[in-house]
Amino acid sequence: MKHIVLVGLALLIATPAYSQVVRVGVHAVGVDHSEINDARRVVGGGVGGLLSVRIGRFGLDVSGHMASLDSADGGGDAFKVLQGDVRLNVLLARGFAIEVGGGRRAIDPDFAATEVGLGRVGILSELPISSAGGFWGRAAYLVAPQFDGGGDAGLAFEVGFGAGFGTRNGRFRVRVEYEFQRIDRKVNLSEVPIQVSVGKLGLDVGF
Amino acid sequence: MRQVLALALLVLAVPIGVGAQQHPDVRRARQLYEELDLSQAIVAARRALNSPLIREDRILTWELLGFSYGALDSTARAVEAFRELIFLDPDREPDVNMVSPRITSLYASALGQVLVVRRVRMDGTTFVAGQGAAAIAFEASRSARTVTRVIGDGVDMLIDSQLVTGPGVVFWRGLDEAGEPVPPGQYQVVITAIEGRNEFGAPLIVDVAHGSLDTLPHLSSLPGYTEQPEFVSPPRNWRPMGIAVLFAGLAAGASIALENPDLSGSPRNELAGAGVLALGVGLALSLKRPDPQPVQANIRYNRLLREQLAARNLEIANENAMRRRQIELTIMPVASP
Repeated sequence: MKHIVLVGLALLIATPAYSQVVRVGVHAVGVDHSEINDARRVVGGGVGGLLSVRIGRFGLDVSGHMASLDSADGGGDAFKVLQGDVRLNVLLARGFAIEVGGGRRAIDPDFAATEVGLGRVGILSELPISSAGGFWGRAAYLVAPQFDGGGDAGLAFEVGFGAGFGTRNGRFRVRVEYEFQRIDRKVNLSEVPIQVSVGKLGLDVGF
Repeated sequence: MRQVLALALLVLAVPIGVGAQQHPDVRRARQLYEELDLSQAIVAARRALNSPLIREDRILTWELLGFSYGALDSTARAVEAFRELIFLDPDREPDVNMVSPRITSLYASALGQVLVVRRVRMDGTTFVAGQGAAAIAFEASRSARTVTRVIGDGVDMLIDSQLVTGPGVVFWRGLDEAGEPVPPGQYQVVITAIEGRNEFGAPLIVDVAHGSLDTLPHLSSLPGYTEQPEFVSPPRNWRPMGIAVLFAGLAAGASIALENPDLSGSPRNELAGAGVLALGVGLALSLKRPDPQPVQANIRYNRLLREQLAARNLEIANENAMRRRQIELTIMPVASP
């Protein structure tokens, strides 16, 4: 069995993957989650995963992570966050695509922080530099966020960027990514803003 | 005394070829000739001619008679003896460096009176059947029509007929009457000179061998032309670093600028970490040799080159197919026994 795994791994490395359209990966995440004010800021880390598919002009990114967060300065409650995002993009020009999707952030235990469900419409700029790596950046308007504690959002958006660098045949790639999300939530005219920063560092494999 | 001395010099200057003669009369005549007893030598030679002699002995005897009669100033008999010698062996003639001009003159006189084909010669040659010929040179002693036949291995055909005065040439293409190459083997080329009711034939034996033609090697490249690289790595540049700075800067600037003022106390560790790593990726990609890029002009050039090469190889293949069907004939003269 060990030999089979080694041979399979060797074949995987040796096979060029210039035309791969599917990438899967895992990553470590660092999360900075703030809500209402800086006193309720929590930070922590966890793990996540990624599935990315590119077929012709269309692309699909599914990612998620789970992180354990704790108060940065002893002011908030510790909780776990489980977040999933789906993004579907259509390439309109070289390096420019529009992107739609949705996402949900669940909190455990309930009401330790605000759970959010949202849609998104934005743009994605993806620039492959070579078979060994590339860069991407994205920005999206968050459509009609829903909160478990009620309320609605005035301004809600997210921005992010990332970079990948790996083997020349494109099989393996180290990926670094940053996402920033701001949701200006209001509940009964009270401002309850949410702001999340997520840094990701991981490895993915292309097929 | 002076006459005897002159006669001795004349006779000694005429070496009689020592062949494989066996007949005692011929040996006796030769011995008498060498002892300058020419009259007795003639008697012995005449006696020998009445005996059954092998061809070589007969040639030697007539030659001895010609020389002896010539030395004794018996011109008519000397010419007659040389005529007989010429009929027997047209190619045998006195060596002008060894014999007296008188003997040479007598021999030439005899040659002018007979019709023979002499000096039939050819150089060995190799040619593709149907595309070449073997040249056979000969000499007719007098103006005559010569006809040439090739005989052997089921082949008996006339290949030439011409009027000749002196030297002539016959070309044999090595083909039978159907135009096919003659089978390998020995053939006799007989050149017959005809003048009125006189005729004389001289044979030449040749060996015909078949061979196959060398085929041409296929080309792996066209001489003088080499394929150009279809992919060329562009020089390193800082574009990846620039893009990294642009993307990280825009995203970082936007996230900082658009932070909620109430939540702006974050130390932005994630942003800093991701930004530094992204810049590191940009630096690495800038330092890394870029992927080779296709060069369309070279691709088109190579395609054209390969088409030309394929066309040339197709021509060679056709040429080889034709060569494999062809036969190379080698015609060599066989030394006379």
